[in-house]
Amino acid sequence: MIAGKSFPVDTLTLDGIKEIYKGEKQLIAGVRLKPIDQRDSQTIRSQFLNKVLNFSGDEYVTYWNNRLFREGGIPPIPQNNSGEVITMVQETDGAIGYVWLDETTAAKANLRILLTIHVRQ
Amino acid sequence: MGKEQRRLRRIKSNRIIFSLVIAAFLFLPPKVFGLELQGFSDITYTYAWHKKDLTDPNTNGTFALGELDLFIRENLSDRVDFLTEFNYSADPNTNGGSVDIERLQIGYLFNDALFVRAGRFHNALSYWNMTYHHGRQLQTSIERPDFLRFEDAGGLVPTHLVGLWVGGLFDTRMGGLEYDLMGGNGPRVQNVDPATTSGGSLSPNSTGDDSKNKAATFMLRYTPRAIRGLGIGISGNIQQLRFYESDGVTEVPIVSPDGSTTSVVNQQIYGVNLEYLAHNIEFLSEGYQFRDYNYHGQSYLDYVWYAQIGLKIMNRVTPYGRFERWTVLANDPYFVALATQDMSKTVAGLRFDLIPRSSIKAEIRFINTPSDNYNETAIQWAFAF
Repeated sequence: MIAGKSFPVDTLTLDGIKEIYKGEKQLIAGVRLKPIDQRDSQTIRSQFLNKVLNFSGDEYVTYWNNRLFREGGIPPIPQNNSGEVITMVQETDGAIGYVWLDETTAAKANLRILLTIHVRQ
Repeated sequence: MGKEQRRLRRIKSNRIIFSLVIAAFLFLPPKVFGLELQGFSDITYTYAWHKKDLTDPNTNGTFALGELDLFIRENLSDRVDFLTEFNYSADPNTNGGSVDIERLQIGYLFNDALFVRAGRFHNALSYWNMTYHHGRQLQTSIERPDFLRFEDAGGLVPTHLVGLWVGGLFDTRMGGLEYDLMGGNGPRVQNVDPATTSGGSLSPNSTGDDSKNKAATFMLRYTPRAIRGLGIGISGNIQQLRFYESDGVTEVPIVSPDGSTTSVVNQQIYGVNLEYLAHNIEFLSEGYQFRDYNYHGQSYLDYVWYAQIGLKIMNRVTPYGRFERWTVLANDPYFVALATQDMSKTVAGLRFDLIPRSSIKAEIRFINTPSDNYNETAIQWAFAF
């Protein structure tokens, strides 16, 4: 889990990540959180939804349909691939995203790695 | 200007407003000026049989357009959010329709545990009302439980409130604790037939309150971390109701079968809800106690509840069932004014999800009241966009 250097905390827990991607946690230290999602076509998305959030792709769509209707707010913003996620978290205050660990190497100097989650593929 | 002229003028202005909304929806890109327009609708066929009231079009087998529900949401800044929802519903009496502002709310987020909103909201008293409301695609069944119908469609509990809303979520080690506190205009009962002092319907008094007594609602809901998908809640509502003829001005004292008369009812509603939504299982249940006090201080206790269960198979097919029961006192002036009697309803159905945003549902219903026992079948194609 990555964020830009201006992100208000250095680390997050797994439960914290779940709350952010479910829209339950919206602010940290007064900064509005902007979770970044990836497109369906990316393998990492299904891994993230299934193994971190415990949702299937359809369930996650349904969850956000319900939540947006009930609460309003902004759902996770989809990006085409990990490169776009890395760019977005660097440029956007409060943005947080997920990428494979080895994809962070080139941009490591401008990123904050909030949590490393080991998943079996 | 005559009543009929006013009605026609209202229908015409409603059609113009709706046409403008639809035109904006059709001809502007989905995201205009930072706003996203989304919505729900459905088409439903219903057939009722063994029903004594043959004026009910469902006895003929009827296709009906569902409500066209459009909502717009936007975060105006990191802390200020806005949401509005329009609803266009067909009017069976005129074959025309009407546009309602279902929700209009502006809010400020202090932190996850505290937001403040002003405007017109869904009333937090009921879990179903807050979660599904006009989104028929969101709910498993074709219809909501009857006592949770909207105010103008024969509902028994308030489903909207105009005023202020304070709420938030406390994240604890044991789980999430969500709360809502709402205060605003109390509803009235309108369209009461002065001859029978019955047949009225609730109105949330969106444009002005008819009394100085405000309505207040609270809701407290706990979702334990240890059992994913479980939710337990309690809620309550206090309000004072007065009763009016169809002109909305002339008050009608309600005469109960025992001869007691009252022009006002002080009402307390207390509810509990229990939900389990995980592992493809959907269990929903809510129960409410009404404590109604007439002008002379006589009290009446009434109960309504439902329980619904469904199981999603292969991620697409959901067989479901629901039982609903109303137990109301014949002399309670509130239920006299709404022409409500004891009722039980059993629903069995099957939902097929074509895609996450569209589903086809079929169900059979068995309805029992002291005056009639009848059955219905219904098929619905619901969608979100």
